[in-house]
Amino acid sequence: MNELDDIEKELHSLSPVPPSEDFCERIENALGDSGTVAMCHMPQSDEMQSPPPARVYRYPLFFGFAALILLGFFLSPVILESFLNDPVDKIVINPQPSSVVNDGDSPLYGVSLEELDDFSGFPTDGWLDPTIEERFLKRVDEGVVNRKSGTPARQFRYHYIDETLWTHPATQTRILSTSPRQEVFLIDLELY
Amino acid sequence: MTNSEPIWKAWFAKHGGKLLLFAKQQARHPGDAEDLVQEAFIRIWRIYGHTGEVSAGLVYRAIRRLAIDWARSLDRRKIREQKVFLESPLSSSFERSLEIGERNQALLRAVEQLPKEQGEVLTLKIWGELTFDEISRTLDESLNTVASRYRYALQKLKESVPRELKNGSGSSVK
Repeated sequence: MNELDDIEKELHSLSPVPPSEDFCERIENALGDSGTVAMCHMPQSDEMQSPPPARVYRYPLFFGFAALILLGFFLSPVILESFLNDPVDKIVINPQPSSVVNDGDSPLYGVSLEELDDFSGFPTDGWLDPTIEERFLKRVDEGVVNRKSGTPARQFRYHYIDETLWTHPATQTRILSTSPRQEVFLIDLELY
Repeated sequence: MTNSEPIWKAWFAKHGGKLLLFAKQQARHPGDAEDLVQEAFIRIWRIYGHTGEVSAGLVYRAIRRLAIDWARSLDRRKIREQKVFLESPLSSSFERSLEIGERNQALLRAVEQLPKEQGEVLTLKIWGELTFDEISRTLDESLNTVASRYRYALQKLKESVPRELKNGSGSSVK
């Protein structure tokens, strides 16, 4: 095997002649504008791209949050009761998602539920389940990208607006929250 | 990017010679090699050039497929007939330096005498620096086949270089 390694080394020591200037000039002419196109890095990930931080309208979100927190507050005695009555080994408490953090900039930060109840002026009972609607905005063809495996794929980005509507029929109150969302799809391509 | 030099030039300076070497093996006619490289490179660069990271394997694959297409094409045959070509030895595709001695010349002559299937695997592996997996995709052959061909090629070179050295004086490289 060592002898074959030697042959390999000898072959590696030989370098092919670089292309002539004339040939490069030919390529340059044939390439035209494609040769001077600015380089841009396309996202390479195969996974769905996470959307940018949702931009929501502050007031609907605020009231939506307030309604949800108040609802939770009023339901908490029921939860606590079931917690106390059940044997400990049957209790399954879902851990809080790690992404939940106290946001010091939030208008709800440091506000007690009672204060929130007074401040929002909204009823805490009688809300219907929220309806969620996905609104398609546009599809953008972002060109050809390489997957990690090296196979080419065409990348399409779909833009949506997700609308969540909370309704309180008794007071004819509606809270609408909108948030933008993007999804990226990769369609495999043949080489040529 | 503040560099005014187009990216393709740096890419082509690095890979162009190797692509030409492979194209010479693939072309049915020696004069088609440059045309093959030009066509394949431009096609691939127009699709992927904006990423700035074009895989050489894609261009090798495009060269091979174009060579097959052109071999079937009547138009291409007419172009070929209008050109005059001189057969050139494989050694003309390599840089000449003081280190290229008699043994290396004998080695290149031995490479030239390899069966085509072994020669193309050797070229892609040694000078194209592709992995066996990339070579198998480029040549549409199984991984085992290309690995075996590579091993046979090296074995054959090992046996034929001493013979070429003996015959060297009669067929020296230009």
